[in-house]
Amino acid sequence: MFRTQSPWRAGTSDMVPTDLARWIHAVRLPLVRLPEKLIRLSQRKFADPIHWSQLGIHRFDSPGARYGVLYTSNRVETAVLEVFGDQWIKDRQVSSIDLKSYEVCEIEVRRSLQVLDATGKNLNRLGWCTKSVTGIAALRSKRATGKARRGSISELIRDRGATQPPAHFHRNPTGCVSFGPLLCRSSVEDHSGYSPSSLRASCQNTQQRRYTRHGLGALDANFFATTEYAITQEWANALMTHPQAPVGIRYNSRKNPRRINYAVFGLAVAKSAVQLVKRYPLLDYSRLFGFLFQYDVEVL
Amino acid sequence: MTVAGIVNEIHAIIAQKKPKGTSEYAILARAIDSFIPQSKARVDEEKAREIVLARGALARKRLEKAEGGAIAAEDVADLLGLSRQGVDYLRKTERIVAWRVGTGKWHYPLWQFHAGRVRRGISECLKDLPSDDPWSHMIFFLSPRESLSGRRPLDLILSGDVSNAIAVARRHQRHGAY
Repeated sequence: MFRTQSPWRAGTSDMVPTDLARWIHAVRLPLVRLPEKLIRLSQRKFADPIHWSQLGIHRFDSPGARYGVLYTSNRVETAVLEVFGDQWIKDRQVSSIDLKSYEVCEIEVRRSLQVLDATGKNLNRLGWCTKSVTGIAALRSKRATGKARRGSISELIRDRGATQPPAHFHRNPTGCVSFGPLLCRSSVEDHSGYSPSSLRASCQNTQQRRYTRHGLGALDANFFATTEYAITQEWANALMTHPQAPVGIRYNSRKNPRRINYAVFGLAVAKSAVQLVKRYPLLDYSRLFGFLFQYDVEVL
Repeated sequence: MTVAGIVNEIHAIIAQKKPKGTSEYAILARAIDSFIPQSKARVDEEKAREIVLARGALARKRLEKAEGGAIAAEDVADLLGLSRQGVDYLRKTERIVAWRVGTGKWHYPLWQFHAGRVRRGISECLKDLPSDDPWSHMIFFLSPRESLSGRRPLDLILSGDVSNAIAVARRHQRHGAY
């Protein structure tokens, strides 16, 4: 079961549970079907845009992982945000030559595949599971400590609420970046039907407050937006060996949490199901500039 | 009236009436924004393209002047103790950042130099960037990033955190998950 020693690995700012894989495997994962059509942006210079990354430079892939990871989005706009959006927090600039160098790749998924749905309440549920398990482990650790020093553990149990969850589960972790500014600068509904401008009135809107403080956005910021990639990579590694065999993760875009991305694990079944069906220059996408305009992007 | 004539008139008006301490680019930016319809939904694709490109032209000017601006190849040669050809070589092999407008002279941003040398991390980042477009390089170094909690790759280089800056360059504009 769980270690009686501290469940946290020392030496990292967020602290990672050492038995992460074990308890992730014990969790019943909420799975959803991978959509039949996925979008990926790739530079034209690459002959094959379907790249199963194991470079360890992104959120879910790592050199030691069992499978590579193919990053995809549900829409072209989401993919554009994923590729260029990280640098769009103040002046939102992109080079026209860079835009020209990308292609939209339409990918078809030719069989039914299940992925972990790490969006909305599902992510909340996973977070709750995490806290429960880590809380138990921490309590056991305290009990062990109490026994070791032959003292009463009642105080420790009474104070168990003081056990801190790891930073990546905090509602508003230090250094957590906000997608608010990116959303708020646009004043019309984007193609997902989500209205960025509505966030301007968030302080007067209960639903939006819930969104920001307790809902998807906050959880997304906690976990799927942490910049401690070692944590998310460890999660992905554990999911790759989960008994339910998810072939990937469905997660919210950091730039616009109403948008959805899919990280597909390179299992044989996924590799055989994923087919590139069409690629065309990004500049030929009929709504590209309207989208860039909505996000106040400056094209150099 | 021709477009060139209108531009000349704008130049004259700005030269005469520009308030002290106000940049001509700030005036032009306001002018561009004043032409944009209130409802963004009513902007068609072609109009949107024109607007984002117009804003981009002004953004380019801001980048040119950022962090002390840029110097000419001759000045870089003096600064680094190289020949003019040596500077050209560094530029062509993408070891230093350089930009030019149209087919004009190359300009070299000052922020990449320190104590008579190219700052450590500049060449390394350039090597890992996916684009060879000079403006793409400028945007990379000078744009704050969400994944860096609002810092710029240049800030990392200035603080000596070169390995992190290189990691950012490797992730830059790739379809992964930030």
